[in-house]
Amino acid sequence: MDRWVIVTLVTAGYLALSLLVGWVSGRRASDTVTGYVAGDRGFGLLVLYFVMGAMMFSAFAFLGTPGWAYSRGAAAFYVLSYALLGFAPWYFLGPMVARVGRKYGHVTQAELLSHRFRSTTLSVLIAVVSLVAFVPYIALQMKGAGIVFNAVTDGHVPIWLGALAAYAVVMLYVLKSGVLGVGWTNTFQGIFMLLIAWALGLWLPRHLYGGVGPMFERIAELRPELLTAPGLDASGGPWGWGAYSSAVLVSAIGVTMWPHLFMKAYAAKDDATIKLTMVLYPTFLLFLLPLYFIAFAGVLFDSAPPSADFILPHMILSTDVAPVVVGLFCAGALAASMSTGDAMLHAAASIYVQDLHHKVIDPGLSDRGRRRLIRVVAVTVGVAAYYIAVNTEMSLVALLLAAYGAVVQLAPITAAAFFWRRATAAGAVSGLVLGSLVTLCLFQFPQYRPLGLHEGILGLAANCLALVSVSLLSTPLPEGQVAPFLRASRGGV
Amino acid sequence: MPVLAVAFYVAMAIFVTYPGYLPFNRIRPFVLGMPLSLFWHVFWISGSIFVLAGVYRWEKRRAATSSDSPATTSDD
Repeated sequence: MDRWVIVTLVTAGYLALSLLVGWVSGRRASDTVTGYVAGDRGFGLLVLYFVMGAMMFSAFAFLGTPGWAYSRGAAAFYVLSYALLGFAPWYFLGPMVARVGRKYGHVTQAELLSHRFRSTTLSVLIAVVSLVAFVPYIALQMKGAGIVFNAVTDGHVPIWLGALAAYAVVMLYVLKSGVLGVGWTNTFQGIFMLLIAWALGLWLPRHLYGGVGPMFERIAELRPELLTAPGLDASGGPWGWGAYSSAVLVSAIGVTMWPHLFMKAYAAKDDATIKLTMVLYPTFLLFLLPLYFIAFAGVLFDSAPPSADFILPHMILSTDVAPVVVGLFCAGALAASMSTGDAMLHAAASIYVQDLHHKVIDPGLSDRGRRRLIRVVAVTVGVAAYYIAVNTEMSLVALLLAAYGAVVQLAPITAAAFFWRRATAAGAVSGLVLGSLVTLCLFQFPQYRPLGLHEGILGLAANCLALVSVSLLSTPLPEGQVAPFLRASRGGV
Repeated sequence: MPVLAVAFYVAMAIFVTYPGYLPFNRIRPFVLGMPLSLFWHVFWISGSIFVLAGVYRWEKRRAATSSDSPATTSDD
């Protein structure tokens, strides 16, 4: 049998198992919006751990991060820093968000913030920003799945077909089971890709160079510039400390503000579950290490992939591993893509319905109606993202970065929501708008950034300034509205 | 105890970026087969597990001792 046939069979087997797990798991959810979006607030430690971990372990982790390590060396280490600094605040923030959510019935981030500031405008703004960020992100995940499938089958499975197969499965279990489908498939996919990553990450350096240590010894001799931060920039010249450091900080703040992270806090069974998940979360991060090892193994390799992002599939295909292992690797990469894509697909649909449609277009819509609408929107978003994934080229990344720039700008508002009584809706909206505009402008015109600092940092400064000054100039919210919210966030009644 | 955790992450933010990273941003010595510059991140990631586990245990003990008197606030 040809190698690509075996690879396809193994991958198809994995897809069938994912579908089975996702399909079966939704049977326990109640037939409500809370059941579909937040799993009736019943996620335990195991599922929450893998759901949170899967967010970091995306198609980007499987292709982009190793691509960076391969071509830019230690520049890629910044992922290890921001992923931890971004999640750690959730040990404290998560329980506060969840408590308020339980009291007022929130299931999304925009519901929380628009409730605190009594502002529909804020809800609509956050919903639009989230959707603009999510659709290209989902498209990138789909494309990643298609690319890996295509590469490991030597081109026999076209990109459109690979992406379609993986995301048809995702669509089916998201429609059927909602967040429970996402949760349990992420658990299955998570265990699967961790095993694959470690097995290959330790085996490859050993097979090629006699171990991880000897491999790094040789890189230290031949390409020492790859092993110390801040590493290299995209064109191969040395990268700056200002860019490296601010990228760590801005990315960390961006991660903390991910809208789907809020949604998973609502899905947790209780505060202790969130806290324990955050205690254990760094163990998941260590699983990025084997991917770095494989990428660094590629540095000394005598053949180069067509582009840096292909380093992982290239390494797997160029060493004489059994076709079954290639198939398992492909399945692992699909698992990484799908376990991120499914949560975002589900989140995008929920956000549209809860924060935009229900707030502005049709406030009278029943719980049942919303539940049905979320499914319709999920299909629409999926089809739109698929269309983008198959039909467009690189401009996606620019759109994605621009939208995430705006997500970062939610940080001062969220902090103010919990810690600053005097913050008002006018302050929150102007901070968000100004911060996003500054970020966007500096993103377009990088020559005006001082010290090569990340545009998001400067956006945040403008944001805080606007938030504080406009809040102080506008009428305070009535104490009777703010106090119960703050009490609930701190565990009072 | 939660203050200690916050201090840990502030320290981490300083030591994994400029200029705190500089003294540890070296290839040698190798630790567990990795250059020090990479192991440095493993160190902070592992540290996080112990710090938050410590905070979690501390909070649990405190909740257990204060459960005799009706607690109105549980400040994190």
